[in-house]
Amino acid sequence: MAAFTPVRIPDRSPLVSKYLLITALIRKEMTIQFGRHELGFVWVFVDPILQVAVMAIAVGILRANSVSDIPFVFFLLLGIQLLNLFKSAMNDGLDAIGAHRQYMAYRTIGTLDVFFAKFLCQFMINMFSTVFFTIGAMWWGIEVSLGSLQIFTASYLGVWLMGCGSGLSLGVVTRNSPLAQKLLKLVNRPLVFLSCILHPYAEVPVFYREYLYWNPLAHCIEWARKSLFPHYHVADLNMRYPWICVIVVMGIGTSIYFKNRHKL
Amino acid sequence: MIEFKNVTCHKMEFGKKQCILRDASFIIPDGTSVAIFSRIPKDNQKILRLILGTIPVDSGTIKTDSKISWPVGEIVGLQAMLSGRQSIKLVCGINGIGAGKSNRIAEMIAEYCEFPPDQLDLPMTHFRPEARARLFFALSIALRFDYYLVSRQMWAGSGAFRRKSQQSFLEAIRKSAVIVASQNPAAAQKLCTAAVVMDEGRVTYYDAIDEAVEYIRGPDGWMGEASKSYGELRRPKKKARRGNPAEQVDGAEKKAAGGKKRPQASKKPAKKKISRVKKSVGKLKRSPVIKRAASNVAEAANHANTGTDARKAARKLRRMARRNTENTKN
Repeated sequence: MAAFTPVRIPDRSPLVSKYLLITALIRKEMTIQFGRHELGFVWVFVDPILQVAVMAIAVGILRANSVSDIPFVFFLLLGIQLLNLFKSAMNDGLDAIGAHRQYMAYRTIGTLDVFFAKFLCQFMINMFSTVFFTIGAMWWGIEVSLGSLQIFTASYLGVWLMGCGSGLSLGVVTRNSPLAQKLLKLVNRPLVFLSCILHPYAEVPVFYREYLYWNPLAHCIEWARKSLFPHYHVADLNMRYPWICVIVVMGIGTSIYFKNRHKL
Repeated sequence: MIEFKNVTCHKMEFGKKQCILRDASFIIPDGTSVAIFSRIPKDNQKILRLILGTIPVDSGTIKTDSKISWPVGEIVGLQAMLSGRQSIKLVCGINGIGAGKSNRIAEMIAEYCEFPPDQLDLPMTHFRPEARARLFFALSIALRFDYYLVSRQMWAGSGAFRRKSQQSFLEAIRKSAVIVASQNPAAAQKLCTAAVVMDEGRVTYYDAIDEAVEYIRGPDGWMGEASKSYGELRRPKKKARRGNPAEQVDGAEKKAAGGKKRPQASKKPAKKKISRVKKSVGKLKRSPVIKRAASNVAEAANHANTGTDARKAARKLRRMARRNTENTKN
């Protein structure tokens, strides 16, 4: 029998131990998402491409499609990437508490760490695929301008933070009712039509544009396209509005969390 | 140090609120092993959950600055997708151990659990319940905490490994302290020096465990004379057989006359059990699905024949059969 002596847990600063904890959780999330094989990672690229293919066929047949200055497939792809970022952050927030209930037996884990790991994991996956697609598009011959990356970053982060805030608040509120969680995931679906994924904002009739204007996601997605394609035509867009929404949503999320943190 | 300050806590039972702790304040000093006794079984485990923070408190605070383990031997956060090594690394990362050390711990655990080579790199679905229990037990004593929580058992697995694990647990806690939620004062006395007694919401901290045990076994406690009468209440004496008293008299006469005696079978319970076992083995053998179960049962029956307690053997083989059928289903 080999000597079995317990390993001392080093006294680290709380920041370092939190870093170790969250990286461990993220690694776990990645493994669960992609399976144990390295090939599972391909799904990150295949999934949006499949979505785009279906939409391109459906929409392309309905209306002989052309968006000025952007190839239609890349137009769809960019929108879907951003929408997926929002959706995945929100859905993961809904699942976070239920999926990690067991792990609370480890004293070092807090509920917020779990949310943080899930959100960061989704962000990393989505960012990786978005960068990959953009580089791929440039290699393919599409003229992508990287002159105003700050706008792209702002809109991208805005979408992500909105997803995080809604995921956090809804996840905490609906922690005891799986039915509500499923319903909320269904409610997500029509966002494809409400967030200017299939058509540019400028092409929407003025009457409907009024209502669409209230959707902060539409603003962010249009801004992201505008930043990569400077000649893309946009009408009355706003960057301040989505970021006000981000602040409000995050504020609601964090306040709901801190109000309920002892009950979780 | 673990400090309870005015902690009030309840549980829901049959739709009613029941108080576990009422305004409880006590301090568990550094390096003190504590046993927790409660009048109602399993209430003492709630204290462990409170320390871990898995159940909420109604009011009050629980403060601690020491490292506390999860309940020893409990399988916490098992993910079927992860391999054994990955789950070890996950738990190490959660508890603040870097990649280099966790690799070493994984090697150490593989050796300790007597896994065949490359078993650790298989996903957890390939681990049998026995192997899972071994792995998580080894994991919980591979890290040195200030306090180990013991809720159910201090060992894992069966046979030789159980003895080994018991021994290594005692070695592991030599430099740390334990918090034992036990209903068995004799077992707790071996490990602990202090005790907490929970009695209908009231909580008393005893510096010496002997006083606590005295209280439990005393007139106010629940393991003294009072419990005996309770036990008698639970197992009432056999009533006289209903029916015509004249028949009973007849029966008694028959017995006296030396007629057929029923208690003959009960004189040799072992043989009867074994015959029953053999019958069941026959049944099992007929079904092709659980051949392996049958062979195991037969082995156990042989074991019973060699003169050990038949009841024990029967129980064992029933358990084995159940386990084997589960495995074959999987």
